[in-house]
Amino acid sequence: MNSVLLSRASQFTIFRSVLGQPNSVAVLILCAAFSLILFTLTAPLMIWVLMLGGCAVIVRIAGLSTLDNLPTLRTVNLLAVLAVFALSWFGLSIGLLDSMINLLTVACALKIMLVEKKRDFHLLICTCLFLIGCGFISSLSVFAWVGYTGILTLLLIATALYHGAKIPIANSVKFVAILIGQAVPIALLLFLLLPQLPPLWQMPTSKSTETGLSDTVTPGDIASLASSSDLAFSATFKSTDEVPEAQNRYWRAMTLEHFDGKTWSISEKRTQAEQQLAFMGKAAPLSELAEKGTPAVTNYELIVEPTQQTWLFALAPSFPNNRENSIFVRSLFDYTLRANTPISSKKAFYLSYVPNAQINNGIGNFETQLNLQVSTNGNAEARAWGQSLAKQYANPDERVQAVMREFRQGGFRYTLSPNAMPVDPIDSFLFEQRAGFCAHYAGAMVYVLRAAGVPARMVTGYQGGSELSENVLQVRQYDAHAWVEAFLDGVWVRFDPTSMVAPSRLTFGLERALEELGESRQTTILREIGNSALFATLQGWLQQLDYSWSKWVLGFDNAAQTNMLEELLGTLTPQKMRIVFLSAIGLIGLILAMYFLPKKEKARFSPSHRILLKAVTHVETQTGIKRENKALSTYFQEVSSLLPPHAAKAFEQLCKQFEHETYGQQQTLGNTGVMKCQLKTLKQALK
Amino acid sequence: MRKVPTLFTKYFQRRLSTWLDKRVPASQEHHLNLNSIFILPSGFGWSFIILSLCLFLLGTNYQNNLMLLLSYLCLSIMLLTLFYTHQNFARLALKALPPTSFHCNQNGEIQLQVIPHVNAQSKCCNGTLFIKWLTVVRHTDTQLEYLSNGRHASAPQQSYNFSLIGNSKREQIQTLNVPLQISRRGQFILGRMTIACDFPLGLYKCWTHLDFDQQVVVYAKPQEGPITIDKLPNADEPDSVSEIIDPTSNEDFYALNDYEIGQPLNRVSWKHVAKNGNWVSKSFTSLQSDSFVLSVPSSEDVETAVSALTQATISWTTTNRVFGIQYKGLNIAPAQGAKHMGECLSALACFNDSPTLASAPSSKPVSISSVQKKTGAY
Repeated sequence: MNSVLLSRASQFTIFRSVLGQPNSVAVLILCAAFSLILFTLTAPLMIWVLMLGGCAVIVRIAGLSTLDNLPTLRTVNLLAVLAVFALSWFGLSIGLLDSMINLLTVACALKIMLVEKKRDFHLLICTCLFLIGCGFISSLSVFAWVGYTGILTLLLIATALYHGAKIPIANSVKFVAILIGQAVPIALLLFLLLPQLPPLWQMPTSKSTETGLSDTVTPGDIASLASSSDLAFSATFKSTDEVPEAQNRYWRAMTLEHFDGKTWSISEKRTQAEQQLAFMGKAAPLSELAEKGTPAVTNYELIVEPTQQTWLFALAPSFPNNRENSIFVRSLFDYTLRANTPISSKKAFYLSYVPNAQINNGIGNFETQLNLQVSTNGNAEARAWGQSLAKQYANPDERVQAVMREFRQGGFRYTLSPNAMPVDPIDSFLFEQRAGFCAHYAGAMVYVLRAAGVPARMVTGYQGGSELSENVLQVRQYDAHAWVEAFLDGVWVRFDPTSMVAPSRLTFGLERALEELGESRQTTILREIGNSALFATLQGWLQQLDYSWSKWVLGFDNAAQTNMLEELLGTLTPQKMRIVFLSAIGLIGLILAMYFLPKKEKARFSPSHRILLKAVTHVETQTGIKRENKALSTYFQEVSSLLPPHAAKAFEQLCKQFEHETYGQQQTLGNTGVMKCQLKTLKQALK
Repeated sequence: MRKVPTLFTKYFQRRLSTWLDKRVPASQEHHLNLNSIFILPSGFGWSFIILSLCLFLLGTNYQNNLMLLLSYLCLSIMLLTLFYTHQNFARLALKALPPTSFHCNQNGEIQLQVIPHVNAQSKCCNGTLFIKWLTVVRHTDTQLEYLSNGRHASAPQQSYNFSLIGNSKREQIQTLNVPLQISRRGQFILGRMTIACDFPLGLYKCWTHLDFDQQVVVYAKPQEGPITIDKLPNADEPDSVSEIIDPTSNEDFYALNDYEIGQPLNRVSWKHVAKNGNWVSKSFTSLQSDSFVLSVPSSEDVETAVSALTQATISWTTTNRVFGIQYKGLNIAPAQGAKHMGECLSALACFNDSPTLASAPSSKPVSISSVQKKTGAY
C-alpha cells in the first residue's frame, strides 16, 4: 500500500519536474504537434511510417521522465537503415511525392527520439513546418487551414519555450498568440500584393489523391464515382439567366474513341495525330471559334477541385480565356480542354460557352474513320444487330433513332448495381441483362452505331449540378456521366441513351432518379440524418463557406489579383505597379512602426498636477521665465508682477488649490473641476 | 603557409577592435542601444528563411495558395521576430564589479550586474545570455608581443550561459559570474566580451562586444621552490629597543593614507576627520622583532623564483609571520597581514626581469617605494 503511494508520489514528482523544465515542455509540445501532423497526413503516409511516428512520440514522452529510457544512437541508426530500405522498397509503388513525404516523416520520427542539442530541436521544427506545407497539397479546406495554423502555433510555442529560459509558459503562449496576430496582416498584404507566379516547373503529383474521372471506362468505374458525394467543381455564371437549363448541363471532359471489346479509352491514334497537327502549327477549332468572336457567348468561371490530372470539363463547346487563367488551357481537336499542368490545388478557370456553335469534325476524315472502327473481339450479336440496322435504314439519323427507341421500349432498366458482365459485355447487356447505368448504355450504343456504319464515340464528363445560389452550380462526383456523340450531317450530335431509360436522371439528377427506381446511392443511416432540416441548413452553410473559401482564397490567382488592383486603381501601368509595390513595402513598414515604435510613456501625474503643469507652461511662454526646479510659491512670486492681474489671480488660485490638494492633510480628490475652470480663465487672461 | 592567414586575421582583429573602440567605447556600465547591438539571423533563422522560400516554390509550383499563405506567414514571423529580438536585447544593461585577483593556474571571474536600463525602466531583458570573451586581455603596445607568444591569445574561448530571471522581481539584482582564464601572471586590462541572446524564438542572434574597462592582477602560480630565508638584523634599529617598554603597542606610526572602506575604525585619524572632513587612516609599521626577508638565488629561472616566492608569501601569511621579499630589483619591506600579502603578490605578479618591459601596477602602494628608499639607504 505504502509502496504504491510512494510510486504514485514519485511519478507525480517526476511529472512535476518534467513540467518544471522549459525544454521538456517544449519537447512535449513538439511531440504533440508532430502527432497531430501524423494524424492529418494519414492519406499519403504508409501504415508502418505512421506506426513508427506514433512509437517515436511515445518513446520520447516516456523518456522525458527518466533519461536512460531513451534509445541509444546505435538503435536509432539501425532503425534509420531499416527505414531507408523499406522506403526504397515501397517508394516505387507510391510515387515520388508520397515517398518524399514518407521520408520526411521517418526522419522526423527518428530524430524526435534523440532531441539533445539545440540543432536537433531546430531541425525538427523546420521539418514539421515543411510537413505542414506538404499537408496543404491534399487538404485545402478552411478547416485544414485552421488546423494547420493551430499546429504552427504549437510549434512556435515549443520554440519560444525552448529559447525563453525561466519565462512562465503562459507568457510564451501569449507572446506567440500576439506574434501570429501581428504576422497575419503582413502575410495577407504579401498574399494580396506579391505577384502570383505561374508554376515554375512540373512537380510530381500524389497518386493517393487522384480523383474524378479516369481516362478509361470499363463499365463499372462510373458507378464507383457515384458513391462519392465530393465536390468535383463549381461553376459561377455572371447572372441567373445565363445558367443553362437542367437538361443542357453536360460538362464534357473526354472523348473515348478506342474500344478493345471491354474497355473504352482515349485513342492513341488521335493523340499522335493531334501532336503532329500541333507540331505543324494548325490551330484547334476551338481557338478559331474564340478568334471569330461570336456574339452569343456566356462567360463562366469554374473552380475545379484538385484532380492531379490535366483534363477539364466544360459546357460544350466552350473555349478558354487564357488571358485570365493562371494555368494555360489547351483546346484539343475534339473540342475538349486540357490544362498544361495537373490540377493539384483548387483552381479557377475562366471559360466561354458558345451555345449556338456546333462540334465539327476537328481533324476531317480521319476522325470519321477512327469512329467507325468496330472491335471484332467478341460481341458478335451486337455487331449483327448493327449491321441489320444499316440494311433496314438508309438514313444514319434513323438508325440512331432506332437504337434509342430500342432502349426506351426494350424493357431496359437503370441501376447502379448491375450484374457483372465479364464476357462479351455489350452482348450480355443488350440481350440478356438489360440493366445497367450510363456507361453500359453509352458503350452499347456507340458499338451498335459503329457496326451500323454511323461514326460514333463515347463522351465522359459530368451531367447536372445543384444550385448553390442563383448563379452558382455545384457538380459532385456522383454527377459523373457518359453519353454518345454521333456524326450526322457533318456535325457531332449528342445523344444520351440513359435519358431514354431514366428521364429524371437528366432533369432532377441522380439521386431523384434512383429514388424513383427504388434504389439509393447511400445505404447507411447517414441518409436519414442528411434529410433532417437542421443538417441540411448546416450543410448549406458549410457548402457556402467552402465555395467562398475556394473562390476568394484558393482561387485567388493572377487574374483575381489584377482585377482587384484594376478595381482600385483603374487600368494598370508599369508605373502604377511600381507604386503598388512601394506602397506595399511602406504599408509593412507602417504596420511594423505601429507595433514597435516606443509608445509615449503616459505621465504618471495626478490630474491636478497635469492641470498645474499646463498652467505653468502657459505662464512660461507668456513671461519667458522658466520654472525649472523652483518651488511653486517662489516661482509665483517671480512671475506674478509680469502677469496681467487677472491671470495672476487665477494662477495663484491654481497654485493654492494644487498645494492644498497635494500636501493638505485630508484627501480632497475630485476638485479638478475647479482647477480646470481656473486654467481656462488663466488662458483667456493671457490671450 | 600558415603564417599568412594568421597575419590576416590578426590584422582584421586589430581593425575590428579599433572600430569597436570608437563605436562602443569602454565603460564600467553599458546600456545597450542601437549603436552597440548587432543582429543577424542565426543558423535556425537561415534555415527558417530557406524553408519559407521552399514553401513558396512548392506553393507556386502546385499553384497552392494555402502553401503560399503559410510561407508568407513564416516570412512575416521572421520579420517581426527581428524586431522582438532587438527590442528585448536593447533592454539589457550591465555593470561590472571590479574583478578580484587570482592565481594564473586558477579561474578568476568577473561579476556583471544586470541593472535596469535607462530607456526601459518597466521591462527588462529576458532569455539566456551567452557570454564569451572576444579577447580576454586588451593588447597594449607593450604587451602585444609579449602575449602573442603565449598560446592562449588565439585559443577559442568557451561560451558561458546565463538565464536571466526576467522582470518578476524588480528589487533583486542578478549577478552573472563570468569565468576568466589568464594563464600568465601580470596586470592586465580586460578585453571585450561578446554577449549574445537569441530570445524569443532563436531565429536571430543579437550580440554586442562590450569592454567593461576593468583591470585585473593575475598572481603567479604558487609552487614550492628554493627559498632562502634571511633573518633581518633588528639590532640596528634603535626604535625597536626603546619602545619595547610598551608591550601592547609594538607598531609604530608610519604614514597617513586615504581611508578605504573596510579598514578598521580605530585606524582612522579622527583628528583629521574633525579638522577638515578628510577621512584618513593611520598605517603603522610592525616592529615585531623576528622579521625575515625571503629571497631566491638569482641563478634560478625568473618564473620559478616568482612562483616560489608566491607560494612562500601565501604560506607565511597564513601562519601570520612578518616577512619581506628581496629578489633582483624587487624589494619589499617586512610586514604582515592580508594587505601586505596582496601587495607582495601584486608586486610579484608584475615583476619583470627585463627593464624595458617593466610594468608595475599603476596604484603602487606608497609603503613599498618608501621602504625601497629606506633599504637603499642602508
